[in-house]
Amino acid sequence: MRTNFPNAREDGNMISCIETVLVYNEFFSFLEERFGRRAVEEYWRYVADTIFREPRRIIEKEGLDGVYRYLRDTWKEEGDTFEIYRDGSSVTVDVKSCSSIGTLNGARHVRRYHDYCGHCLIMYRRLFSSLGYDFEMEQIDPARGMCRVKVTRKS
Amino acid sequence: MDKPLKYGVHKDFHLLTAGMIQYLEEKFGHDELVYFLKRVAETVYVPLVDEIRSRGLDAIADQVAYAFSHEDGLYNFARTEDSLQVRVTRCPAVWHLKSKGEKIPRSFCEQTRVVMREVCRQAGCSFHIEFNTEQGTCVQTFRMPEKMGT
Repeated sequence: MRTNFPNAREDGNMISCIETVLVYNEFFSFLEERFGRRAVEEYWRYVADTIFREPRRIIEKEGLDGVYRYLRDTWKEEGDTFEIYRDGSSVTVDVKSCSSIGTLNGARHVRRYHDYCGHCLIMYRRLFSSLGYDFEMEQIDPARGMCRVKVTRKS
Repeated sequence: MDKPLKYGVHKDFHLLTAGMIQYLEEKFGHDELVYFLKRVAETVYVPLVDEIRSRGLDAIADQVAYAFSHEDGLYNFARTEDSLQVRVTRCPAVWHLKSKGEKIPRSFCEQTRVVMREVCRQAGCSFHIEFNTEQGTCVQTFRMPEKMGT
């Protein structure tokens, strides 16, 4: 199964919470400057454990179908451009243009946190690992918001 | 009169904002939360400060109208030459958190109070807010300084 999702914001149907991305980015910088990198990663794990209750519920109920549905629906709603595939044991997403990175690149008054993409890796790895899945993320071009993620059911 | 609604925002981002506020206050204390929110005003909201300086309170009215028209919020304006009152009758953030069964952080509405107060201080106007977090309502009042000789 393979589905393409062009950037939904370009056709005017979808507007992300742009300010949240900028505030989120600032929060990472703030935590690192005040309390060190460890505090940033600790916060990302906190998000996975406490805020991701809905994806946890969906994936626990629907398994790999839930992984596919959650990633497809969430990233589509956020306005990302991506292709998503699934086979019998994994879901792969090729992100052509991450909307959050697009927002950060467009906000010249905001300094991008040096490892903004790291939050996806640590948060999702923790979430999926706790549900019985491996999470891999290849940062193809972080400056342009291109990456590939793969969620594989642990054997 | 309350404004109509539109849809199409990733509203779960409000969970992240609530999580930031909750985490920061619980782990590092209220002062750190206020410090962070002031920093947000000084960085993220620089364009709004500039807009207020050049266009006055119309910039704030446009900002509120844009956000609320896309976020399932209800509000009305009361406008004079030197003031703008925004009466929020349904805060989209509070309502979304409630719809998800989420607990609303004790200091959730501090984000508006601290950020907008700082934005207005930098832009040269004043800001006052009365809010009811549980009900998701607030009244925000913005005032431009009185002109000399008037």
